[in-house]
Amino acid sequence: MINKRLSAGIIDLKFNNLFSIYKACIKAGFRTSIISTKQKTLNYDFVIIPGVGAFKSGMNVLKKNKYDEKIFNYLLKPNSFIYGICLGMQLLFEKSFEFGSTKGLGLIKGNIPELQKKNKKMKTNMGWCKIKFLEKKSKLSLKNFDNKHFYFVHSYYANPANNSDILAKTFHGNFEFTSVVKKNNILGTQFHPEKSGNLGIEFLRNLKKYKN
Amino acid sequence: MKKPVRIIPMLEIKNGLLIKGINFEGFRVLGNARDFAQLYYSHGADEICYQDSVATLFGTSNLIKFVSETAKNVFVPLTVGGGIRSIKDASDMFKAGADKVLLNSAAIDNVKLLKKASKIFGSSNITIIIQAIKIDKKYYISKSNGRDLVNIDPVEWAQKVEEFGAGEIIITAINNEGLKKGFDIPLTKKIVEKVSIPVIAHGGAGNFEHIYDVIKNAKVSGVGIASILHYEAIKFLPKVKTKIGNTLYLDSVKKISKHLNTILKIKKFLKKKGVIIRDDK
Repeated sequence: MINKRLSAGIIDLKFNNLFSIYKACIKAGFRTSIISTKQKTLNYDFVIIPGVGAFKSGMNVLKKNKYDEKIFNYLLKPNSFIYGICLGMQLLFEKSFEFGSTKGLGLIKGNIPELQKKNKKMKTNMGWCKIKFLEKKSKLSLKNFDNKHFYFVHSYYANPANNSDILAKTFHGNFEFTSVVKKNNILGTQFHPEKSGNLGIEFLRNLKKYKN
Repeated sequence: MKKPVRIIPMLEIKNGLLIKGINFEGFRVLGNARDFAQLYYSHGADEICYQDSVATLFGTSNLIKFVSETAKNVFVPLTVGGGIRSIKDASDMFKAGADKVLLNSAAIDNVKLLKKASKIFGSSNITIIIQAIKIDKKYYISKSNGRDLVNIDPVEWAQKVEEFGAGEIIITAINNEGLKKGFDIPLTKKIVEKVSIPVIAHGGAGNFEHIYDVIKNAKVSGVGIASILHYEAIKFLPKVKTKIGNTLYLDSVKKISKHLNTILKIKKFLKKKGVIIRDDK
């Protein structure tokens, strides 16, 4: 069998870290490209939604460039796979409470609340945190990342409606939130693999194992 | 659950070269900054910090080039500072691959810029570096590494920048920097107690005990380290060819072929003392 390199297309949300995720995907061995707004259909083994920034502006960019429709159409194809990172993951959900309430892509049931307001220190989760995979999901091949540190920067978190969509959780102080979600051919991580050192690159390299 | 204390190599650069300022001697050239950055990344640094000491005078265009070269191969957060005076400067730096930008002089001159930047780019991506100087028992903040004194107390300034949206503070004790006699623990501790954003201690690390002391006593979120790392790394990194700066020191360095991982050594030392660090394989 020919060992074909898998392709990854990155959606340009017009935010900061496009360059980092682009380089990280190349490092992880993907044929990597930035998806141009002119592309009518998405033909990649993986479509990546990166993102740093606010939910509302992220959603605006998606809609303005009809990325939402393109994503829905892409997901109907056999062998398609969407991976959302940080804000990119949050956009997969139904709605966010960042600056009022904004509708998301609605691919995963649930919403995006703010990290605890009560304690000022809890406002932003920035730094290296461990991810803990849930027991029942232990069969999944990415279990070797269990209990390892990944890099997080966020002030909002994903609150999935269905427990079955939760793969891993993470503590921010005493507060536990969902750090990895998966539903069918959709994966999302709150952490940034492109900023998580060698382990982050390994995580990207192993994405294909999540396809099934 | 506590986060691991971040070990952050601090690279002072000039034209892409890693330099070290030494009193009365000007700048020593130590090598290509990106060689060091990549080495530290592979050694398990939790973050890398670039500070361009001349960008304030000559602009940021050179720095942008070196940042994007570095970001190609460094997959941990990269913090970059020096000469960032506007939203556009910051935006250019992010586009080049910086994850956080460092502000000092520009925020002192116009604190509203800090507020604007944190709104546009997010608080967690804006770090304030405070260059504190102690003269006759009184503390000041400064611009350009102590060259321009500003009559503001560092602790008050720390509180103010938090209020104006800074996501993190690096506190550099200029008096201690490069002397390898330990951090300014009392000052650092005071700042940690007064703000709720992460505080990074910088300036004075001469041995592993110093690093442990500031973590234990000041409860910092991270420690910025320069000399301890650079003077080991220089022994096995390729020698730089340059006509700029003082390379006399470089010529005197005895090269060794073995890679020494000082960052790992520091982390092992801290772990033994009970500090939470990141050492995943």
